[in-house]
Amino acid sequence: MPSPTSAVLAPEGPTDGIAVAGPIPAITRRPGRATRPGRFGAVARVGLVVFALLLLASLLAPLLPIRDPLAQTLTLRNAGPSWQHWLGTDLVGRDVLSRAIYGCRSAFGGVLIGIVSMLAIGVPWGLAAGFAGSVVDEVLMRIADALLSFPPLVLAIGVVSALGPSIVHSMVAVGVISAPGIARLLRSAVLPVRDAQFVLIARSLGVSRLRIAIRHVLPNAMAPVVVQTVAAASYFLIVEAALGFLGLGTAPPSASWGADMASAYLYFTANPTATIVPGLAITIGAWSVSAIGDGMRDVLLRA
Amino acid sequence: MYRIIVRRLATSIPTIFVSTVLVFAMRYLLPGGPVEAMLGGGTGQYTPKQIAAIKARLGLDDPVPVQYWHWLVNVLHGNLGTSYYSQAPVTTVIGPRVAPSLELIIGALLVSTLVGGGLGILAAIKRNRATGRIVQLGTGLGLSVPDFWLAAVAAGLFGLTWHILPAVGFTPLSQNLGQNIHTLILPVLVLSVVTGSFLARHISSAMASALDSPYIRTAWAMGLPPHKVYLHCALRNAVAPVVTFIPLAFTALVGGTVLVENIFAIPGLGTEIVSSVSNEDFPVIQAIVLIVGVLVAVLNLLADTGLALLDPRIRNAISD
Repeated sequence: MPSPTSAVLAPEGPTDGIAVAGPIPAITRRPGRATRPGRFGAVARVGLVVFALLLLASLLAPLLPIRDPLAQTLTLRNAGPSWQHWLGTDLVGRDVLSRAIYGCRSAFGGVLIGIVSMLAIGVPWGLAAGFAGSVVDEVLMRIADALLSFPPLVLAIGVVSALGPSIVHSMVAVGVISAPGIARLLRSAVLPVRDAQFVLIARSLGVSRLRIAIRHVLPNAMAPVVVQTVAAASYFLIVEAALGFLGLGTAPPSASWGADMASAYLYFTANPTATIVPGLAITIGAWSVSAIGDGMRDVLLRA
Repeated sequence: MYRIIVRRLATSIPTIFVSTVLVFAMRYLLPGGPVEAMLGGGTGQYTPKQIAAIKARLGLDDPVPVQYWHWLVNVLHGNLGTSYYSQAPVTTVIGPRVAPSLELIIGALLVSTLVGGGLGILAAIKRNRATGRIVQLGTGLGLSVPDFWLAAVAAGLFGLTWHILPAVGFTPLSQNLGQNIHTLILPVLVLSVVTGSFLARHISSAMASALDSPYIRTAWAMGLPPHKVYLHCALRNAVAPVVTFIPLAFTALVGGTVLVENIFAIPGLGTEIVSSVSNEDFPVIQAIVLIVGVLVAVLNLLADTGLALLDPRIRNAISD
């Protein structure tokens, strides 16, 4: 792919003639781009606002004028929307809206656990593979390939079935299983930086290899990792709910989107909102995060 | 061509080997190790001598590599162990569960390739129009919707409220083809949403960047009709995303079937793994994880080889 700099470096080469000649005359069939690359697009901004609102709701949940998510009204089970309960009640008469808002907490908490464990393993892994090269690289990448051939949810079920169900076990497992994806990405980003001039200079100045790897190579190779981390966060939100749905995540009676859906969907005809609301919350949450990720990809990787 | 296949095999055999090691190592995650798990209610009621005898009988005193070797030989002979729960061989527990899951996955692969592929091409051609943006937004939402939620809502609406399609249940293919398809419509459609959106995204970005490249401008300038430019020149670049999509989609669909099968009460591997979790039937879980991992590795191998055979650029990069 001809980069803009290649024309500067090799002015006599005709390869970049089009780029040097200035803007291409517009072709009628190809109208100008609506969203320019390199900008945090409108959709991404909407996603950011939505995500900020969800985050605020989860942080401020105890201060919001909503009902106690654990308070049961046994006379009002599976009720439809009303003034007291805007989105109705679930099978033991708990407020669906407030459980959806409190569900943000376990969802975001779970995602955070997953992300931290994914980066804690994936970043050293990829950095070591890319920086060390040869045998180390080969071995580390084969292990990554092996882990990547398992569906995260299935492997997480396997691990959690062995360790016992809890939100920490399940999300650490999901994070560890996703780490090789980060490792691979970081490795391929490290390779070109490893041979850059500033690394050579640092080395000739006697800077230690570890310091070069962490201080000089890593920051210059992090962009794809950041984008991938945001994309993974969106996926983790869904996996957290899936594990909750299977009873392997957040323990009841705490509010959790997945577990709430699991207890509600058998009563779908009696009260569809109790099933629909947690699922919508997951969808909106996952969509907002992935929209932010897409926007960041445009800014960081296509600039 | 043989060189490409041999090279691919050379990289995927270590991968499969490491996957088997990982699955083997899962038993060390069990609290108290494999003995306690096998004895069920804890080792408290057994004397240390009895436990030692059991360990010796199961070969648990051997060095770990030797244990792994024995395990691997057994697996290769089709012996996946004995279910703790039903005391039957794991293969007879899992065997009848494979067909329904495969039917679901293959059906969803077909639907998502056709619909997702079509939408991706549409989104690429109309990328600067409202149509393209609607497709982009739709696929973005499709990637964010939890499939088990869609399954629950679809079963609730189509099955329980409107009575159009069966909400739960499954008729095996061998019994009745028509009913088999009837019971699979909803689960297949639900599973196709995520993978279809994923494919649509990839095809549209591959094709959009092709459509913006100089050779397409040449094709327009030479007066080629639109269908030739789109399908003959630009779509070729969408072949690679489709081929690499299949193993990825397979992995995603296996994850999806776990929950979707449970909601629609389809007796596949997904319902089996979930019931095994609640029965603490570890050998069955381990076997399912192993089968899935090896299948995905083999599919990856096939996809990589196929891609190299289809695309001369990749072929040359490998054989260099």
